[in-house]
Amino acid sequence: MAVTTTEPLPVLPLAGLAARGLAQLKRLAFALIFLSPSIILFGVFIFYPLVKSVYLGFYETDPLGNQGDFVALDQYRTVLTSEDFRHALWITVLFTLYTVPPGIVLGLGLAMLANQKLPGISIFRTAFSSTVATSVAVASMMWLTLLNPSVGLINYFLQEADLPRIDWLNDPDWALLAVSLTTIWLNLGLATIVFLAGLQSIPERLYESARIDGAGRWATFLHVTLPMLSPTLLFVTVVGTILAFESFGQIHILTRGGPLDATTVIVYSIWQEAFQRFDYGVAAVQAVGLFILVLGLTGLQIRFLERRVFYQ
Amino acid sequence: MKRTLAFLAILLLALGLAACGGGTTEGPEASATPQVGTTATPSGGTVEISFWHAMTAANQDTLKALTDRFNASQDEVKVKLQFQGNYEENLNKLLAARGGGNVPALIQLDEASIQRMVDSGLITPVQEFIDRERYDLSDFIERIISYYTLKDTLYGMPFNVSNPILYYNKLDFLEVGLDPERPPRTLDEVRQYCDKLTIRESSGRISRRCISLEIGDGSWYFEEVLVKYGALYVNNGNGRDARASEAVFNGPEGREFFQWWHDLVTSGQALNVGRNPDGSQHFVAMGAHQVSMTIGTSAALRSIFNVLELGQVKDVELGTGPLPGIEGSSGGTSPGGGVLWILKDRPQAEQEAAWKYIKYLVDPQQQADWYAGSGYFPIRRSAYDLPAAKEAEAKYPHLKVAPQQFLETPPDAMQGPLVGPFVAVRELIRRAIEQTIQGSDPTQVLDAAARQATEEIQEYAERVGD
Repeated sequence: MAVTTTEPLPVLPLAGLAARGLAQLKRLAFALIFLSPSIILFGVFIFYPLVKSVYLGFYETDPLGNQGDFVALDQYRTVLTSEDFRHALWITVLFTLYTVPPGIVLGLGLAMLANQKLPGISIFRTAFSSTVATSVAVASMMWLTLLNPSVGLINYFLQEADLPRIDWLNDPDWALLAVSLTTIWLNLGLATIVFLAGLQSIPERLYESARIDGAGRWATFLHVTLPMLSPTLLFVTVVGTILAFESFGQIHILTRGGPLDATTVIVYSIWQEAFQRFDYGVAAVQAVGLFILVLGLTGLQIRFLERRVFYQ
Repeated sequence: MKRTLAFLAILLLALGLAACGGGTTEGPEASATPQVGTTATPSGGTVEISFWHAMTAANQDTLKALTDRFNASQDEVKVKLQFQGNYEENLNKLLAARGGGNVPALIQLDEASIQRMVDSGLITPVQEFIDRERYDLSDFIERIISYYTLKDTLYGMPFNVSNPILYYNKLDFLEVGLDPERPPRTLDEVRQYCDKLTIRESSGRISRRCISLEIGDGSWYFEEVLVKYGALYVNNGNGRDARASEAVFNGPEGREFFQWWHDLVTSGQALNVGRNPDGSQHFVAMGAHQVSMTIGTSAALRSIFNVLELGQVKDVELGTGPLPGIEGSSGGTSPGGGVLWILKDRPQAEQEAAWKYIKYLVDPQQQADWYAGSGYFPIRRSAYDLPAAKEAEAKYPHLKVAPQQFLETPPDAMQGPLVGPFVAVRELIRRAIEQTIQGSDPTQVLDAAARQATEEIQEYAERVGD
C-alpha cells in the first residue's frame, strides 16, 4: 500500500513533531479503512462466536435452549470424562489419517502430471483442480448418488466385475471410509493447485545442475523437488488437518454421523448436542475443546515439521 | 438397465422426495442463508409475513401454487415462502433466531414438535384466534385437532397430515403368485410375503430383496405401529393425562417390531437404506427392482406419480396398502406430518396476517387441492366431497389409502405420544434400530433405548417443569 507521507515542516521542531504524529495517525486510519472489511468479517464470524462459545461453556442450558445457571467448569468435566467425546475424538483422528496423507500423495501426483509442458495441459490443470469450485453440498449429493445402496454406480461396476457389492454408507465398517473418499476427492483440487504452484516456483537451474551431476529421476525428486516443496508440504499438511478436523457437511449429508456413530467426528458431535439435544452449553465446551486441539496440533506441526522445511 | 440406472441417478439428484417425519434433504438450497426480511409495512395496506416451511419436490410446488393464489386473491396479506430445510432444521433455525427479531411470523414443524413448542413460550396458540372470532372447527377431523390439543387449547394449526403406508410393485406380486390386490396387513404377513418375494440365485446370492427399510423415518413408523395397536410409547397416557415421566415403548409390541426389523435385515430379505438422508432411497430401490415393497410416507405420493408418469421406470405397477401392524391391531393411526405455529415475537398485525393465511390453507378447497398435489390428506371432512378431491382420487386411487387408514380409527383409540425431547428420543430409536440390524439382540437394545429415553424425558421435565 503506497501512502504518501506529508513532509515535516522545517521551521518549528514542535510543529514538525505534531505533523509527524498526525501523519502517523492518518496512515493508521488509512490502513484501518482498508483492513475494516476483514476486521469486521473476522470479528462477527470468528472472534465473537469464539468468545461467546467460551462464555456459553460456563453456563448450563435448559432443554428449550435457554441459558441456565453458571456452572464454572462442570461441563468441561462432563465432556472430558464422557465416552462419547473420546469416541468422537478417535473417529476424528481416524478420519484425519484417512484423508490427509492420501490427499497429499494424490495431490502431489496430479500436480506433477499437470506440471508437464504439453500442448493442452491447461485443460488437465483445470480438470485436476476443479473440485476447488465444488461446494461440499454438491460434492456430497454427487457421492450420495454414486454410493446409493440400490442404484449406486460404484456398486454397479463392482457387480459387473463380479466383486461383492459394498454397503458403503450403511455398514459401520465402511461408512468412515466412504466419507473419507468423498473428502479426499473434495480437497484434492486445493492440494493440486498448491502443489502445482510450488512445483512451478522451483528454478529450472536446480534441475539442470542435478542432471549435470548425473542424478536420475528418483534422485532428482528426492533431493531437489521434495526439499524445494517442503514449505508447500507443510502448508498442505496443516491446512488439510484443519479441514479434516472441521469437516461437517459431507458427514451430515452422507451418513448423519451413523451408522452407530461410525462417522461421528467432533464437529458432528457438537452439532448433535446443539441441535438434537439443544444443549448449547455442552456443545460450546466441545467446540472450545476442538479449538484448543486444532491450535495445539497446528503449533506442533509447525514446530516439528518446520525444522525440516527448506526455505530457499 | 444402464439407462434406468442413469435416469434414476439423475432423478435422485433432482428430487429430495420425502417430505415428512425425520430425514429429508439437506440439498444445496438448505445451505442458503436464511433471510431476515419480515417487515410489516406500517403505512397500512399490505402486511408482509415470512413463512418458514419444509416442503420439497412436488409438495413444494403445490404449496407455492396455493400461496401465489392467496397472494393474488387479496392485497391485505403477502406471504413470503422460505424453505429452511427439513422440520428439524426449521426448529434449529427458529431456536437460533429467537430473541434476535429474525423469526418468521409462521413456521411449519412436524408433529413431534408440539410439546416442545408449547413449553417454549415462543408461540401464540391458534386457540386465541379461534375463540375470538368463534371460528368453527366442527368440519375438522376430530382426531387431528385433538392430537394438537393440550389442556383444552389448540396450540398449532395442523395443515399437512400424512401417514406411513405400504408401497409395493404389483408385477412382482404376480410373478411369485401373490394376489396383487391384497397387500400384507400385518408384520407377520410381511414376513410370509417376504419368503416368497425374496429371490435367491442358485449360488445363494440374493438378486432381489423383498422390502427396503429406511431408518430415517423408522422412528416414526415405530410410533405409528404402537399407536395402531394401542400400546403406549410413554407413560401417563402417552403424556396426555399428565406430563410423561417414563418411556414404555419396550413392551411386547415394541419388541415385536424390533424383532421383525432385525430378522428381515439380518436374513437379507430387507434392504437397509440406512438414514436415507435424501429421503428417497427406499423408493428408488423399488423403482430399480432391487425390492418389491417399501414403507414410506403418503406425502411422497404425488412426487412418485410424477416420476412414474415420466415413463422411465419400467415394469413397476404401483400398489399401496395400509401400514402393516401388529396382529390384533384395532386400526387407527396418529396424524403425522406438519403443523403451523404462529410466533408471538412478531407484531400483532403480522400474527393476524398469519392467522388469515392459515384459515386460507385449511379451507376445504385448498385442502382438496393440497391433497391432489401432495399426498397429504385433508383435515376437513367436507374437503373430501369437493370435485378437486374426487377427481384426484379417481385418477390416483392410491391417495385414498392413508385417509382411509386414519379415518378407520375407533373413536376411543389411543392418541399419539407427547414427548418434550422428541428429537433426541427419536434419535435413540434410530440408533437402536441400527444396533439391532448389526446383529444386537432386539430386546436388549430396545430396553437400553427406553432407559436412555426415560433419562432424557426426566431431565427435560425437571428443567421445564409445569
